[in-house]
Amino acid sequence: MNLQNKPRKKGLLNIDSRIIWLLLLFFVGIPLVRPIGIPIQVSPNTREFYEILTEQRGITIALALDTDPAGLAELGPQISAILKIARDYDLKVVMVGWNSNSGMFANTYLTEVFSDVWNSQYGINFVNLGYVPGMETGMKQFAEDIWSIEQDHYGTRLENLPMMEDIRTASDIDYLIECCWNLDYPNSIMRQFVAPGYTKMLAASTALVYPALLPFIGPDRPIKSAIKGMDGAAQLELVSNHPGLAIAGTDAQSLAHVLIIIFIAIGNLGLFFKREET
Amino acid sequence: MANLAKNYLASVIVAVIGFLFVFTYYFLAQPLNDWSQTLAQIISLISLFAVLPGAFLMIRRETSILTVRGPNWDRSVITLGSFLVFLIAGLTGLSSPIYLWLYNNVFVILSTAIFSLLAFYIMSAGYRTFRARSWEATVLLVVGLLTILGVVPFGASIWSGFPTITDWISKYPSTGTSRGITIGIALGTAGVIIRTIAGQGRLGRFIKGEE
Amino acid sequence: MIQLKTGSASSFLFLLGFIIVVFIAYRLVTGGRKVTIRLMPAIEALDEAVGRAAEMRRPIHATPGDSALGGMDGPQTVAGLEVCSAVARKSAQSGVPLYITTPDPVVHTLQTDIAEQAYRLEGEEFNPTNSMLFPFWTSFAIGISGLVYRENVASNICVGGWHGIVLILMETASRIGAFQIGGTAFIDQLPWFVACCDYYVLGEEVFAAGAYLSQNPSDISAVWSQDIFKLIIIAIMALGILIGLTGSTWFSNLFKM
Repeated sequence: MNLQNKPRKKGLLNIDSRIIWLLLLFFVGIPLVRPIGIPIQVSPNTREFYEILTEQRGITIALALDTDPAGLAELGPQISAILKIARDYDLKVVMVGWNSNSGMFANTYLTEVFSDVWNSQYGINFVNLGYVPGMETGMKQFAEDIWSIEQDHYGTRLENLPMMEDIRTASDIDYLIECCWNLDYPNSIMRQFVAPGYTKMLAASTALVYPALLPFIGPDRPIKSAIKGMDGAAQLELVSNHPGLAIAGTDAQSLAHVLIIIFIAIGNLGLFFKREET
Repeated sequence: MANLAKNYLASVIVAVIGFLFVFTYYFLAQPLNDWSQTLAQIISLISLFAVLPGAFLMIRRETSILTVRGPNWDRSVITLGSFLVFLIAGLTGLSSPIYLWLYNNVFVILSTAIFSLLAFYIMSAGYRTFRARSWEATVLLVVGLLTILGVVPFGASIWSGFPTITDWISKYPSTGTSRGITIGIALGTAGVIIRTIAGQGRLGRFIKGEE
Repeated sequence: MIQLKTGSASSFLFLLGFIIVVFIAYRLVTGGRKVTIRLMPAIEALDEAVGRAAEMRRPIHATPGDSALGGMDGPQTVAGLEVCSAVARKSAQSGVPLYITTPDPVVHTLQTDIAEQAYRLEGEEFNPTNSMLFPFWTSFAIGISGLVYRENVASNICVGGWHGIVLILMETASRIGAFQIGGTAFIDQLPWFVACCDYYVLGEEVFAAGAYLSQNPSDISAVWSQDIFKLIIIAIMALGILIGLTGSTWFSNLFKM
């Protein structure tokens, strides 16, 4: 729709956005229906993340689901993969978050991975503490005294959850894994959990946020390791031997990237020919 | 006296609480640490109430459009109807089947769909932006192409060097630039917050009621 | 007994140093010292944005971002509100309709007050229904995109704290040929502004933009203090590099205290 009522310029430099979007829909849709099977290589970063998690059985990890539904497309597969690893290695999992959707999302993914053992293991191997309000103030409060929240997402008092007996402050958590889709949450976690020395931090972020987290990632930096986006989730699924949605989605992601390269090439060809004309 | 209280009471509260939180961040000093923890709990509770004005303003606006049959009043019906449905479902409990169904099959799906629009817009923005109009734009184009090829399995299957190059670009030039920008932003943010605690700046003036 | 937490000494000293610089700068600037903020093309282009809207007889859309006033986003939102205030005054002068939007109720109250005040100063009246609230980020993104498209705005001003959804707004505005000025201090969002905007402010320029517009001595002194402290940091980094090249680690260990 050309609201300026001017004749649309044609040519390689002015392809209608709707054509680009239709082609994208096609390129992304086809591999979801008919996978191609492009081989996935596990990067050193993802392997390091996996090795940190599986270094020792029985450690306690906190998974902070600080994302809106919009981030779930990338973070969802990551969360699933991490929970499956936690189940394989008997890690104790504390699900928490400072986003109002945290409790709901934690419920969804815990149900997905632990539904068969929910009644026997909830409160013993995993808990859903739900949403802790107050953003950074809430993080400060949680870090200093986890029991200040008094009950979990389902209304169960913490004293009725056996695994919480030994988890009183953030110091009792071995790793806090921040699942984030913007920079606010990891920055606040670094300030309130890592800088005061409570616990160590890992990150599982969307691909958009990952470059901004890079300055903080490293063995002697606040974030010990991190995985990014759907390809990070796919690599984690591969290395942990739990294939899932992420591996299925990487073909579509690859083709979308191919399409953008094609259009960049078209745009530059158009520029080249235009210069030749002038 | 009333004017003094009106202008300065809020500023004093902000200054005291701000100082307390900063102090207890760096120092251990009882009972200040206990006080800051209690205040943190209170502030967390207060923040929950921030949801209410948003809901009230939205209801007020939509009902006023509906009452006078203003332009697009049918959209106000949808807005208010959706709000009521979720409100009633929420009252049945966050774990109730109705609420979970609505949450997972309406809210999450719609939010994800809206965010997925970004993919389409990135495509058209990338097509428009990555053109070799100048030397700087050419550098951007080359680096962009290398990064695109390095982040997906497809690129690695063409040549195993692409992920290595992308990793190098991410770790060194990109991280270095990010660090520089982050330092500037952190100083800017800290400057505003320090001045707000001291009762200066636009936020400080707003708290004092001068704006 | 007061005890410094382990590992906090260096960051506490940095904070103390910065506070001292902020207050010295404030005293100097409010005491009369002249500090000028360099010309910012994006801010100078606000006149062009409003003029374009007046010529085309189309409205303007301005927003201080999708962030709240609290937390770390607050300063960016404040800077965005300064820009909105300047746009409101210019719109009132030119008789151009202005839409201001936000997803946060507190910011909505403030932006409405700011717009009404700006219009009043020009002897005009601002229609409060043009200050809109779209709660929640995703509905905000779609709401303002729809608004911009329906109203066929001539100019879109979006300086402030932005999270993941600003591209939706800016691409929609690009499609209708709107003139765009934008900016944010969130690193992960910067590429969108470069791709879509005619003029942009990036990173800490957002804070400088707020000071440039308000010309308030307190705000200007803050920008000056940031520049001074950045020079101090650069000097420390240069020293650290030189000492690090000799293989010595005592300097870097100071920052782990």
